Formats: sequence, C-alpha cells, structure tokens
Amino acid sequence: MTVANSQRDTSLVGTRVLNPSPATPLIELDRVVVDFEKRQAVFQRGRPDLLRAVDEVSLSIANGESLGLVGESGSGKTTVGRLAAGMLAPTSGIVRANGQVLGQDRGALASYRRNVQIVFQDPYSSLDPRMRVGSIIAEPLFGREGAWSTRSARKERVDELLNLVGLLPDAASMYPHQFSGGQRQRIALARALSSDPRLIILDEPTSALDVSIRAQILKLLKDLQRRLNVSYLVISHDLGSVAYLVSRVAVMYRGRIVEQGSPAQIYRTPQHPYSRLLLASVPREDTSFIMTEDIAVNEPEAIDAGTGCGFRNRCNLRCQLPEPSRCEDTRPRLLAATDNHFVACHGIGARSGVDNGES
Amino acid sequence: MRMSSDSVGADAATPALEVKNLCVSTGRKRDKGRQLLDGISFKLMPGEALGVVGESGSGKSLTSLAILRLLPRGLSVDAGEILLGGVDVLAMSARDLRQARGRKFSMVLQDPMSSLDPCFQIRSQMREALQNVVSASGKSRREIDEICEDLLQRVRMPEPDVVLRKYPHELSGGMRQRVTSAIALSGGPDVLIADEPTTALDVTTQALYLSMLKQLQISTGFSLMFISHDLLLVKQMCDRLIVMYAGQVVEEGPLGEVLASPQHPYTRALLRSIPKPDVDAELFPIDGYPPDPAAYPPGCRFAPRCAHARDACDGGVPDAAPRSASGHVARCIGTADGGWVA
Repeated sequence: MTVANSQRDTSLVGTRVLNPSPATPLIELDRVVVDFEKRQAVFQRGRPDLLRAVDEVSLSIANGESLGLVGESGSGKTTVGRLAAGMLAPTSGIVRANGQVLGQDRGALASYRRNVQIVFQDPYSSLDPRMRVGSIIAEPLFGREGAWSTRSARKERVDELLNLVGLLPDAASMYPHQFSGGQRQRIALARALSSDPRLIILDEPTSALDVSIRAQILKLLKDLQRRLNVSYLVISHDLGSVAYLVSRVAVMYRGRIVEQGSPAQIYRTPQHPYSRLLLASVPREDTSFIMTEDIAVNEPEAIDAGTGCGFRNRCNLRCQLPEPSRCEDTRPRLLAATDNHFVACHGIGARSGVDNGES
Repeated sequence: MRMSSDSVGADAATPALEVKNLCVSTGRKRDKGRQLLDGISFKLMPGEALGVVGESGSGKSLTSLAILRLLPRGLSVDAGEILLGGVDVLAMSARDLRQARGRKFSMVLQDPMSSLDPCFQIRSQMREALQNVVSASGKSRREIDEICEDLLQRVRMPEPDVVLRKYPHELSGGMRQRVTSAIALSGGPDVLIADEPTTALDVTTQALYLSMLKQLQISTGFSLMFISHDLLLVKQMCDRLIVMYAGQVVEEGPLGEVLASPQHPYTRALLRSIPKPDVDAELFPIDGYPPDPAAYPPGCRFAPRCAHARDACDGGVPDAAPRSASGHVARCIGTADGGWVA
C-alpha cells in the first residue's frame, strides 16, 4: 500500500511518533550531516572542497534492538557508525544518547562511550600483536570503578568472556598471531563485550572471514545478543549477514537513507530502485543475475550534495515517471510507504499498483 | 613446441587445460611433509567455465599459481603434469613460457589496485602489456591506442578514450578490474584464470563485472577457471565445479548435479552455511577450523569437522569415487556405495 505524499509527509524524525516506544532510544541521530574536507594540493589556496559523507540522516536504536545499515562502499555507512559510537561530531544535526544531546557536555559523551564498543572488519589489524589476548580483552576494564577494579576480578571476567565466545581459557596467555581469522574475530568480540556495553557497532564483522567461518561468527553474534540483550548496529554490504542479525534495516546510498524497514519489507518487497538493484545483485541459488546494460555503464560518480535524488543517474525507474525532472530538482524525502516502511523515491507514489513486480 | 606424448582418448577435443596429479610442497627439509597440494587433477575443456571452490588455505590459489608457473619461492612442484592445450607447462623453457603467458593463458587477480602500477596511466600499462602479445612493431601510437580502446570497449568500459589517460587511483574498483581484465584478454588467451576477481568489489559492482565477464566468455569462447570461496557466485558463472579442501579435490562434477545432490559432506555443509538475504533463514555453520598442513589427519581431512564421521574415516585418504556417469566424483566413504550417510 502506498500513501500519497501530501497525506503523510513525515521524514524519519517522525519515527518516534509513528512508532512510539516507552523508553527513550539508546542512540538517536536527528537530521545529521557530516562534511569532510577533501585533501588539498600543497599550494592550493582558499577553502578546501567539502565532501558530504552523511546527508541528513535520522535514525534511532532502542535498547536491545538491532539495526542493519547496508549500502555500497562510500555510501556513508561507516561514518554513521562512527557518529553512533560518539567518535565523530556531526557538522550539523543532533546526536542524542539516552535522550541527552551529545557534544554539549563532556560528561554525557564520556558516559555514553562507556556503553559503546566497536568490532572492526579486519581482526588482523584490530588486535595489538604485542599484547596477550587476556590483556586485550581486559583493556576496556582498566580504570573502571566497581566490580572490575581488582586484578583477580578482571582475570575472572576474561575467563568468563573467553568461554562466552567459545575459546579455551589457555587463550588468555597467547598472542593474536597464534589464532586464525575466525578465532581472532572471537577475541575482538570478547573485548567488545568485556565492559558490558549497551550497544556494539559491528563494522563488516564477517567480511574478512571465509564462508564456513562466517556462519560460525554470525551464529555466535545472534546467540550473544539473545543472551545479553545488547543492541547491535550492523554495518555491512553483505545483505545475507544483515538479514540474519537484525530486526530493522536501513539502506544507504550516497550519504542518505533511501529505504528503511523490517528485513521482511526490505528483502521481500523492496521499494527503492537502489534496494532492488542491491538485492538483484546478490548471488542466489534459484536466480541468476543478468544486469541490464543501462545500469552497467552507470557506476557511481562523485557525490554531489546538491538537490535532487542521488540515485537518479543509475535509476531505471526514472524514465517511467510522469515528471522525470522532479528527480533532478527535488530531493525525495523519506516517506512512509506502509507501516514502518520508509522510502525516499519520487517514483513510489507515481507507481502505485505495480509495486511488487520485479524491476 | 613439444607436444605431449600421451594422445587424447575417445574424446575428440583436447582439454584446454589439464592438470594431472599435481603435488606442491614446501621444499625445505625442516618442513618436510608440508604438502600443500596433494594430487590435484582436473580438466578444463575448450569454452568451458570451471569453478574452483574452497576456503583460504585449501590450495585453490596455489593451484592457479602453479599452472602459470608463478609459485612463490620456496614452493616446488614435486609431481604431476600441467598440460595447456596438450603442451606440458612444467617443461616449457623460459622463452616459451613468456610466449604462452598472455596468449595461451592469462590471469586476473583479486585486488586490481595492486595489480596495476599506480605511477602510470592506464594507456602506458596497456601498451606495455600489448607489446608482449601483439606485434606492436610497425604500428603507430595512434593505432596502438585504438587497439587499447577496442579492448576497453570489450569489457564495457564507458568512455575508453578518457579512461586511457587516467591513473589507477582515479578509477573505481569495478573499473580497475575491467582494466586488468582487458589487459589479461589482450592476447586472446585460450584459458583465463580468474582468482577471486570480485572480492574487493561491492555486490552491485560484482554483479556487473561478472555478467560482463560471463558474456565475454560466451562470445569469445575462452575457457574460464573461476576461483572463489562463494558457491553461489560459482553457480552464476560456471558449468562444472571442483571443491577443494586441505590441498585435495574432494568433489568434482557438473555444477547442477553437484549442487542438487552434493556427495561430500563438506560441499553440503558449505551450501548450508551461506547466509541468505531473506527473513528467518536458518544458518548451519561448519564447526572447527581447517587443518594445519603440518598435521593433516591420517584419513579423510574433513573428518574432524564432519558431522557424519566414523572410525572408518581415519583409515586412509578416501579415493575419488565416481558417483554418476557424468563425471561426478567425491572423496567420501560415507556417501559411497555401502556408506552410511543418506
């Protein structure tokens, strides 16, 4: 079902209104923009060019909820992850953690950061080769007051964590190079879990791993989430892994969220042409991917922060629209297509009735 | 060129590439017994696309390097034959080998950024490659540029004339991989080995690149050896499949047949462990890790991770037993005649 644009002109800021939850979200991005300065040539004068990595992104993650961010490289997924981790201040827009605006006082940021951990893509470079595994895992506990302030308490915690991620207690006295990729990712996960965080940002957690090991880690991640009720922000271009781990998916393209919904909505009835392209590109057992020529030549170009839809040059829906010029002049807003399913595309209203067909 | 002595049997066509009982090990005494490839045998027929699947360390890349005689220092071929259109690659002189590379067989590597030189324009890198494969003598720069543009057009590069003047860093990952493919195909090779060519690419770019490669393979007719750890990707690209595990071929056969009724537990487990982009998809991981080449299990190398393993599995490496008339073979006594795996 599609709702006419004028009826429900709600950008994602309105998620809270549409989807009221009793608790304040763990982390909330409200129309966040991030600009990066492009590197300048040595003698170049004037102001550096800006690159808009994140463009008015709004999203929220509730306690115990898991959100997946998918999109191609350069779409801004990792930058959103860094924002959510409190590692990066937005150029404009607001980041709230537990209802408090981050960036205004240091205390809020510091206490929020204590509740967030990150697992990186490459477990070969994210673990210090000169530290023993036990110290790596215990590192987030140093300087914490309370239960883990004594050495023996930390040692006990390390053993508990190693057991939790499926490694033997002997691992604590070994070095990262003595482990395989999958085992190292388990160590990285144990480190992330050690201070009992509320949110773990998983940035391509399984991309560097072999297929058979990937499934082990995914299963472990899902299992841990059930047991510990921790929230995940899963950043990945692997739609399969995301589908397995999360309850909500946001599709990013060139710094903007173009579609957001439940995995069922995104994977079974994708609305945005980019989401459809993304899904059609995944190799599957039953179908083959034969791409149309017009998309073949239109690889992504440099981002333009101007008006209009960022996907318009690769879009195969645009020419079918009554007013293709709208895609150039007006930025499509993220509108509710159905319940809790949001799409930013001018074609959605114009195309009602033929939504479920293959693109 | 020296033709191979053994003639081809009933089959009229000579395989474009045939590997017989290839064994590669680390030659050092101290590591004796580290056999990295153990009796690899397969055939690649002209125009055929063969998928090679396995996890890191299973020996799939090593096999391709051995075929091109590009094995890293310290590794040596202990036994076996590699026949390229009937000619033994291992017996080729350095000069013959240089002639054959690019013209007879060619390779596309995983990371296009490291296989292109960052200091030179695409044009000069393509020219350099062309000098080896076409007689560039007597051709003007203009003519050579035209050949380059033609080649780039064949890999569906938009605006080839502009791309020729660019440096590798100015191109996207997908475009770089198109350039390396254009270079690899510039000599019109009979066999193209593509070693995980899309690992560094996004899914959409991967789909575009692979459909380009597949269509080019069909129209040009070269034989493709496609190496990947992703069974579903191989399914999109290939006619036949070999599955490698711990330096051995554990299953081989026509792709449809192998995927429909996999005869080795490892192939089955691989298929079940791929996360599907759908809701409520179940995931069955393979427990454990691949074995260390220094300490292979005495019998079936997959037995320690296999859900169906019995004591009998440790009694020597199982033979590659035929499973059907169409060349489907598997190394598993559990699924063979009289076995216990359903």
